[in-house]
Amino acid sequence: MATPSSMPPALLSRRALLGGAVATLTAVGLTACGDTGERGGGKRGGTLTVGFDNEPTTLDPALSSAISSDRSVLNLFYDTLLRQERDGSFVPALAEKWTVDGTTVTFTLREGVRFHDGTPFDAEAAAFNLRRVIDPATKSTKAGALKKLAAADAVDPRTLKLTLRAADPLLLVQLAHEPGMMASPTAVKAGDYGRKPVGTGPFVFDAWRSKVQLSGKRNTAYWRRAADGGALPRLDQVVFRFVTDTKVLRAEVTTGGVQLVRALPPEEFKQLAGNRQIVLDDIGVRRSYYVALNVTRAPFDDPKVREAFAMAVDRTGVGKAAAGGEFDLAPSFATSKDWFYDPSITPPPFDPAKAKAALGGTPVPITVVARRRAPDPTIAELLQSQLTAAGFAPKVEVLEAQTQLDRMRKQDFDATLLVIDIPRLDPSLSFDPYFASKGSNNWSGLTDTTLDGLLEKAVGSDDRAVRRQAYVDVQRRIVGENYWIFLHQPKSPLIHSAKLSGIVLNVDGQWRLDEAELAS
Amino acid sequence: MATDTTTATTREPRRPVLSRLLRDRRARFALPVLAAVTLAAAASPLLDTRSRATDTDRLLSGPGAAHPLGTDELGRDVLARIVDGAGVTVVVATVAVGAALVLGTLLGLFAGYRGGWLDALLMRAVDGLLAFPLLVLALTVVAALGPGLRNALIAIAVVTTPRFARVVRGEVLSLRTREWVSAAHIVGVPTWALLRRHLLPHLAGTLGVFAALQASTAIIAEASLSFLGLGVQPPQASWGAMVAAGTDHLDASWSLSVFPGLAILLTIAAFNLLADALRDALDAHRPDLDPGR
Repeated sequence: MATPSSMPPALLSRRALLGGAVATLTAVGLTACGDTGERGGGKRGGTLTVGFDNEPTTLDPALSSAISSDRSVLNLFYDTLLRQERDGSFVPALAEKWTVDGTTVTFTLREGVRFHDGTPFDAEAAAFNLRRVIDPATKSTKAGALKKLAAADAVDPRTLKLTLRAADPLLLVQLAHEPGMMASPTAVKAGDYGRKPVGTGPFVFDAWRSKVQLSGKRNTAYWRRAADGGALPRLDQVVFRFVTDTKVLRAEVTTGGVQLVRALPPEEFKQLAGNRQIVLDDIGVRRSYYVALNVTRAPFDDPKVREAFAMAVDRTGVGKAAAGGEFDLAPSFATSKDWFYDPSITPPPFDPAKAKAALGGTPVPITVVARRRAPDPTIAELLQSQLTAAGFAPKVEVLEAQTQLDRMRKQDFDATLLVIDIPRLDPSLSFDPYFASKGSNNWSGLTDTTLDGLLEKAVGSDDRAVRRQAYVDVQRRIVGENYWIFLHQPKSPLIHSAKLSGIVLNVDGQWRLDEAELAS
Repeated sequence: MATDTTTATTREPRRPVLSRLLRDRRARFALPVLAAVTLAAAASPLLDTRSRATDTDRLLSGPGAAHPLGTDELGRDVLARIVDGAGVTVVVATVAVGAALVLGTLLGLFAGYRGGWLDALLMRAVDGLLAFPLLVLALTVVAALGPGLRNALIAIAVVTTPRFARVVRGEVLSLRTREWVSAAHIVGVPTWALLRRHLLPHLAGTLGVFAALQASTAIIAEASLSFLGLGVQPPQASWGAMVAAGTDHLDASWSLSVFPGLAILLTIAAFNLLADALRDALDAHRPDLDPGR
């Protein structure tokens, strides 16, 4: 048994109380594991403890609102019809093969797969899941992703037929991620599904205590085999501990309390650089900090005030204060390696004097909401100082994650500071949710028909050159109108214990842990 | 000059308490420190811009010529921010403790003098509040009201009031059986006037000492709340919040939490020593053994 022998020591931190509770819980969890997890030998088995800063609000993939980070958790419990590898290619998963014929897509499903609750996985169950996503009554956050899907029908128990309104170049990408995750119809119908997920995935949902931890146990009947034919998953148990304090996360990964961390800010991971027990792997993922301006009300319904905001912000200064030297500056949600990146798109240059003149003397009061998680409050405070110098009267509210999201949904803010992880599976997933009028995360409250048209155009074609031009135009429009101010892009390496191997990454860097193993 | 006709009983100097206080070594340390904090608080509006001016080219620099105590994680001048934070500290020591003093004294006076069910009711409520550790209660109040300086002040006043009420009631209980109180009562002095004119002056010394002690407790409470991010909100500086920011960058800058921490330490020590000195100076029976004390 490769239970990590180093229990997390009770850390002296501002969250010592919470830490104590977590340590106790983990102790209980490990003891239980020692009793039952005796199967397997060699590299198999063990409990992987993950430090995770972004607790999901629901484990229902159809309702998950965090665009990407929830998937690291959802991948434990769910499978999709097909998988997309990091290089972009598609491989079979719950579907053994598929054919795309214009507006008809036919999947041949794997036989003998059952959900964790025993419900058989068949074409009817798959159709149920897809219909549920596109049913307006579900209010699925993924409905937009499958908006071209007209119908999903079970031809026979092994054959699923999708009928599309129009050819959709992104359909397979979407089906390989949250919109295509297969949940047990029995469990969904039973209610309170977001807290009691049942899929076909490598791990069976065990327990979830909000703000503390979430755990999954090995699915002994998992259908997938490793390349060498060995049974998957290799781990007995995966525990996600929800820790938002990055200092605590860094300390935990140093002492071995957790073996994998989602994201650490540069000032923390720089301190891990010399440690041989820890692997820092730059997998090309960047975090993109942004400020979204609420255009549905004064003062940011006025393009001049938005421009003044953009001129007030010193992006290099923000990067230096919040990320040390470990950041890039980019025009938008594009990293310099992305095919839709265009360095000629530039926001208005930093010019507080001009901003002040544009605002006309009287300080403009605005409310800025930010999240209580380092380094966001620091960035907010710096923005507050820069904005004050440029003639705004900013009030900063530092909120817990859920409170901030609620405020953003209700459009009860003037400017909101947040971050997403990029790249995403496809640029449409970076731009559509945030900038389309009907986007699920349209924080700014945009109703820009020009922008909607460009976004439509960008997903209407298979041609990379056409799509690139459309996305460059999209970015030019967003930056030109100053709907959003894109700040710095700190680097976000994959950080894990040297004992942990076999992490498989999605295109956007989210984890699959079915092949992960812990050396003893 | 205020003339004082009631205490001319001894051959002591005209202001015995003050002169004894000024001869006390503890007070000689405490008073200048508190004067400096008060001055800093008075000067803080002048340094407002300086304490909020960020400079991302000069992050976390140590003490130097341009910034005597260095700069913080956003490049702001630490000295200016400590001066800015003194304003908060003085507000806490005066407003929050002052409010608790007034409220607590009123409650204690009435409870102690009236006695009966009013006393029982008030004192059980006070006992209930005193049963909680001060900071836990303050956290609860702030959690209910939301973070911010005003709510922190309310929280501190709420948790400090019962302490004053307890002390005042105790004193009143021992005083109200004295002959001169009974005499005043018998000749028909109204209750309110009796409390104000006959009892309150006797409480002044005790209250002064106790207020000084509570001021130090209140400053710690505010610093703790701000350390946790529940007290003073940015960009207003607060010593507690500065210490918190310093702990986040301890590996990059040793000085960031040390100086605000020292400011807290000195101010609290000053209030405690002042309380000690004041108590001794007020004690008329205490033989003045050592003039240099």
